[in-house]
Amino acid sequence: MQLCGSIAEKHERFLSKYKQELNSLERILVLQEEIDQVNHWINSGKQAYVEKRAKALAELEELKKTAGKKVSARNLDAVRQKIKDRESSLVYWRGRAKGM
Amino acid sequence: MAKESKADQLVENFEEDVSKLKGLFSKEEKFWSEIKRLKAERNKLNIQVKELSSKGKRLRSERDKLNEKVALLKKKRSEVIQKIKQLRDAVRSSASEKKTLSKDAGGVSDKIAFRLNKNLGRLLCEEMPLEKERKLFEDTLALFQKLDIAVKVDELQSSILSKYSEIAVLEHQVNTLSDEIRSNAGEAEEKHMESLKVYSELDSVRKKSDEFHKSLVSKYEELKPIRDKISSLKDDLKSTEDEINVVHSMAAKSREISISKKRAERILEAKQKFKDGKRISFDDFKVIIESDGMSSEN
Repeated sequence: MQLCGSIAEKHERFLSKYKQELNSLERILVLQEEIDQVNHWINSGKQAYVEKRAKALAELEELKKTAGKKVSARNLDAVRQKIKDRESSLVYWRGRAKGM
Repeated sequence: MAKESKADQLVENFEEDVSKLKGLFSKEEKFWSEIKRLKAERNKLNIQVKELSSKGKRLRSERDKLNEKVALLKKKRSEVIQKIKQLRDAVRSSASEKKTLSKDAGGVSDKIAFRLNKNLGRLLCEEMPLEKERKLFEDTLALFQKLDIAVKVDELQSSILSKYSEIAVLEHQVNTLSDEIRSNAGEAEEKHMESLKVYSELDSVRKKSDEFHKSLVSKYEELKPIRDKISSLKDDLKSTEDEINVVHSMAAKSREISISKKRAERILEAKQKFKDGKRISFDDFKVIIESDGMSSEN
């Protein structure tokens, strides 16, 4: 049925969006960890990491603009749950579209 | 003397017959005058009969044509009435179906379409739990079915309205046809009544014409013995005339013989006188001379 297919497409769009959001959040988390480590190294006198830290900060700023959320484990879990839900819905509607 | 008497008698008879003939001629003339009048009356009435018959036929023909037209119009009206009946039956059936379907649709198509669009919008754009989404999907499917039914209801309604419009047009046609039927039937009735009047008049005029004809025939019959009598009298007169002519001829001959005889006797007497030496008169002498002449001529 065409409507089931269209609903499945909606879920694909949401899924794509949440996956992208999850990637961003995970990258933000990684970048934050990386910046903490680089800061530690710079504070220990390793000035060579200044440039690296600048790059990481720039990327982080850019990602925060698009992600727009406070990165937390809770948020990550919520997005993961959404992906899980959309995937589950997508399976259902794809199956229904084929079945009908 | 007898011959003269017979001739007189014949002349008297002849004159009497002539007088009778004159009387008969006068009578005959009166008959002919009456016959002429009767014939003229009869012929005048016959012309009327012909004209009335022609008029009657024309009126009946016109009446029949009008009646044929009325029959055709009635047939046409009957067909239209039948069509109206069929349409009314169809309307009743559609209305009944519409009523049932309206209950199944549970609303009008516009409202259902609105709800359906809203549901579709949510299904295709909103994020929601699968169970809620499934329920909304099922509701939407039901709305699709209801919309189909509601559209069918709309179609039925449209069809009913269309049929009502058609019925109105056909009813107008029936009214027009009825008016036309009434008008033509009225005209046919008028023609019929007029033809009855004409045929009644025709009957009356024909009877009068027949009466005149009978009178005419009767007059001819009455005239016949008079004409026979005239003919007979004419024959008699001819015969009497011939007879008179014969008698007159005979009388003339007799007179001639008598004159000859007297003359011969006078001649003999004169000649005897002359022979005897007696004195003769100039007339005697003339008689002797003429007789000699006659003798020498003979």
